Amino acid sequence: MSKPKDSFRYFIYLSVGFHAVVFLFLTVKVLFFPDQAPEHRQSVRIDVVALPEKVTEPPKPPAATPKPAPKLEKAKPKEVKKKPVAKKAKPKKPKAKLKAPAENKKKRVKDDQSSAIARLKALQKLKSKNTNKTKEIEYKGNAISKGNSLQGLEKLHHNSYLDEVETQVRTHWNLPEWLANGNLKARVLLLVRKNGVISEKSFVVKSGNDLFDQYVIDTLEKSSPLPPPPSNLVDFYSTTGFEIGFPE
Amino acid sequence: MQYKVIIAIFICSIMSTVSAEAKERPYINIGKAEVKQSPMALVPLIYLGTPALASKHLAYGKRFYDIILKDLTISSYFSFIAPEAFVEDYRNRSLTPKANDPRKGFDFGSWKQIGAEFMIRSGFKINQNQFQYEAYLYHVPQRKLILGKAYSGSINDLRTIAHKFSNDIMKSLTGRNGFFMTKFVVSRGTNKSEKEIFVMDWDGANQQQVSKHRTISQSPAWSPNGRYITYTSFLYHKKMKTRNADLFLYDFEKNKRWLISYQKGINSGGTFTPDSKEILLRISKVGASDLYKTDFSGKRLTQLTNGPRGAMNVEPAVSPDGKTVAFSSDRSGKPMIYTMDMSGKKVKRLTFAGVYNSSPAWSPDGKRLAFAGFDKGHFDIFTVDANGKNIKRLTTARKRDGRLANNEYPSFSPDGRFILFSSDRTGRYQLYIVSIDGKYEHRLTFDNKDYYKPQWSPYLN
Repeated sequence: MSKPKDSFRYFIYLSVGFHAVVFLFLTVKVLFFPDQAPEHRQSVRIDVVALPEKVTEPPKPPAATPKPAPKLEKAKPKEVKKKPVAKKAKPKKPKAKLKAPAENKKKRVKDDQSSAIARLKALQKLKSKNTNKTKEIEYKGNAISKGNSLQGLEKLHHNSYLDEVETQVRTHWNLPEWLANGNLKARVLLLVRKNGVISEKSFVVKSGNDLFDQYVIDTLEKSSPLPPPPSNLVDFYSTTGFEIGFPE
Repeated sequence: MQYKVIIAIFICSIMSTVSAEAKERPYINIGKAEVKQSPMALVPLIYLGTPALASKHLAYGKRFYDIILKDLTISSYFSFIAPEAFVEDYRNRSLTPKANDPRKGFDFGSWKQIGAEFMIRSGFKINQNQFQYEAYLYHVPQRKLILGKAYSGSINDLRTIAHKFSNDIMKSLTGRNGFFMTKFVVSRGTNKSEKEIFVMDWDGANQQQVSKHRTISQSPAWSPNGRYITYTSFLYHKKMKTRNADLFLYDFEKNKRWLISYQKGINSGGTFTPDSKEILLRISKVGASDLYKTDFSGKRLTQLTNGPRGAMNVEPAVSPDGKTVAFSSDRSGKPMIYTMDMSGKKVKRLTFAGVYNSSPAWSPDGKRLAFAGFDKGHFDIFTVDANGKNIKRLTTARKRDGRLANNEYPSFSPDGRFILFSSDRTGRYQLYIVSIDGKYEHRLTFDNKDYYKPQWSPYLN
């Protein structure tokens, strides 16, 4: 009777021992011989499938200080200057109607242009009149002393004028690639006459590159004459002047 | 002592007054300048030799002129004024201005009149097979001489002299080296079933065969010091009785080549570390393709990637600072560009867009990478910031039949301004370069050969 009991016990011990060995083996393997780290994949993966299209003309970076108002003011007189003939065409407007249709068409386009330019001119005159008036009124009502202090209304006049100058100079400010990317900087002091002509330009800070400095001077020469300074600031701009950074 | 204090106070008060006044002066920041091409008058070469030999030698001058014109045109810095627009009869003027040569000197005014910003005047003569060239670069508005040099060399080295002069112009104007003395290494088809490794000048001229294994040789790469190239050849192994893709190293200085890696499988995509002392490559065995690092003996092999799960890791490219490796891998399902550190850790996926992105190449400043992206049925060249942002497509071209062409295997120029690539837009894989803004593109080879996986050399001069 004891034999089967013993053999049963024997196999129990054997089984426990075997399990212990397997357990020990697995434990040692996991602890001391780690397998490759399992890769955790996201259950949802979103890929952007389309690659961007080629941009043939890279978008121009926005101007550092976009100021639309002075730009408009500047654009108007330019148009008028370009087509001085339009002034003469103005009184001929009614006669055009009597001409042949082909000529009429041309004439009509011309008239439209001239009337448009005339309208712009009139608007500009009106505007300048208004601004003059307001200036007078404002000066009468204000006790701002004339001088070099840039405050209040005077500061506004300065800003408005400088915006016009900036727009004009910026159109001529271009450089070869190797200079544009060269991180060069220069600063110039300008004195401007009543009619906008630059009377004096001198470097406050030079870039250290002769060619770059020459491009700065060329840019200013191409930009001259600048817009005439406001009447109340003529003295200021002809004696104290202002500085331009190419770039900051 | 008191006297000195009074003077100091006086100077300080003056300075403070001046600075106060300066502060009150309005200031305009005009912003960044628009980039433009400078109008250049490249005056045809004047013959300075014996008049009797002029007819015999003039063709050399024309050839020289064409090489310089091509170099400077591709630089994209200049727009050229056509010689027909020249006001001054340059043939009867000397190479120097009136100030130096009142009788025959040229007049800056007539060149300013046609809008020239820069002008190159030069002349040549040939004496006993020696090409002697004298050239001057002027800045017209400043009436200033920027560069004046004389060159001399064998008539057979005419191309080299021309490229040297173009390089000198670049250096004198931009302060940076030009790439006109650099070369390409490329795998070129020699017949239907064979490709060999060739080296050529950057403009596609002067092609020289480097490998003659009479099999498929591919994926060449320059060492950063310009002395070595590495490439893969499918060589026949007598013992194995089969072909195997083995990695070779070729030393230009010693004109020697030796096997670096020839493990059974594919040993390919070799690329050098910045010190030109080690090579990264891909070794593909059954079911796995991983990146390894080895020295020139091929004995000290270090595994950098390990799958995961049998993923393909190929085309390693080491960053110029030697800290990062870009490679392509399909571990996410589709082949994409990844980066990791030199020990194979810190793996980061760089591209997510497109169907298939491959062939990563670093810009010389290490800020951007170029790669070939498969999208809408064809490959195009793209660039991406090293952080994975700002992807830009640089190429788009159609074949003659109207289908979109493949543009593949990008490689940066040593100055980082252009990318060399191979395109099948003509029906053959020819070599092209594109500026990094995608604005200027030029074809460099004009033959009926196929060029694969070109790589631009470092500066060699």
